[in-house]
Amino acid sequence: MTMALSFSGQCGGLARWYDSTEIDEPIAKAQRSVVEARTVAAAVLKAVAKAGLAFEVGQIPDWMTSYLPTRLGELSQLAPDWDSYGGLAISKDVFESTLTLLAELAVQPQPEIEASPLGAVVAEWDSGDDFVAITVRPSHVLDLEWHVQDDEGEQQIHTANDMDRARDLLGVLHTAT
Amino acid sequence: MTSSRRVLRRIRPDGVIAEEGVVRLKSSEFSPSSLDRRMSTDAEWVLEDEGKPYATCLGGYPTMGLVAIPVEVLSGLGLEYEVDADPTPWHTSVWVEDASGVTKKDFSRSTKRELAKSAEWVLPIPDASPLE
Repeated sequence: MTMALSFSGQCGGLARWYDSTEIDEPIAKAQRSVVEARTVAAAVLKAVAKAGLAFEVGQIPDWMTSYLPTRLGELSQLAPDWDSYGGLAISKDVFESTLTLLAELAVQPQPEIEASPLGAVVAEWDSGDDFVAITVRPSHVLDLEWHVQDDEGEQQIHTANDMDRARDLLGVLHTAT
Repeated sequence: MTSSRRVLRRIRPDGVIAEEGVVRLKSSEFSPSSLDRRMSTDAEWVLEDEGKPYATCLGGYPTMGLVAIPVEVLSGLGLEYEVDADPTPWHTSVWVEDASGVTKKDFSRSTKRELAKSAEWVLPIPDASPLE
């Protein structure tokens, strides 16, 4: 057991002894978590840059630097058979495609991000019974599905026009709420 | 157990989401497998005939829950189902075909959402909040 001297207050007159293992270890653990989160967050920002988008400070939705790195970090931990039905682990390519897609969309509000047993990542925005979902499948296939105000459909995303379609649907989805 | 026919599906602890005080099933819990494009379930009626408890379906996954979906819901969504009895007598496959009869890789998001809405707990996830 190591002991350390801690001073509180500017005068330093109030000193106390404490067991450093009670404090230092949780701090070290928290620091490791922060480093891991920053690593994933850095990957998000790198993907933003890779997508050729020049965001002004403050234009990146908060969830992309908070929820997104945390959630993708969780999904990256899924081992094969994670769903007990033979679910596939998610590949690095799928994560990169997800980051690129979400960086390019950069929309509010935060989507629900889930793994698919087919090795895909799904970003889903919903409002009551309405929803817009984009599934990032292995082999870089992006499936857009929606049900917005009695308009229901699905298509693959190949072009910038398809991305505009996704943005339009998300706009209608959230305007209606 | 009930007299109407239902299929049973395991749900992960991460398969529920709490929103504004309401806990609901995630639609992502209802997907076919990459191996055969079929979603594995268990036939409640066969389980009953065999005299097995619901917990049999959890097998080695005691932290999971179990939900039931009426087969009428499956049919209404255009899904096919069959008790294929492999690897257990009550194993049942659920799948969807395209217009030419070919099994599709995945269910549509709408189908998954409807399955999640229709599911009823028969074995809640241990220590989890009840669903709406």
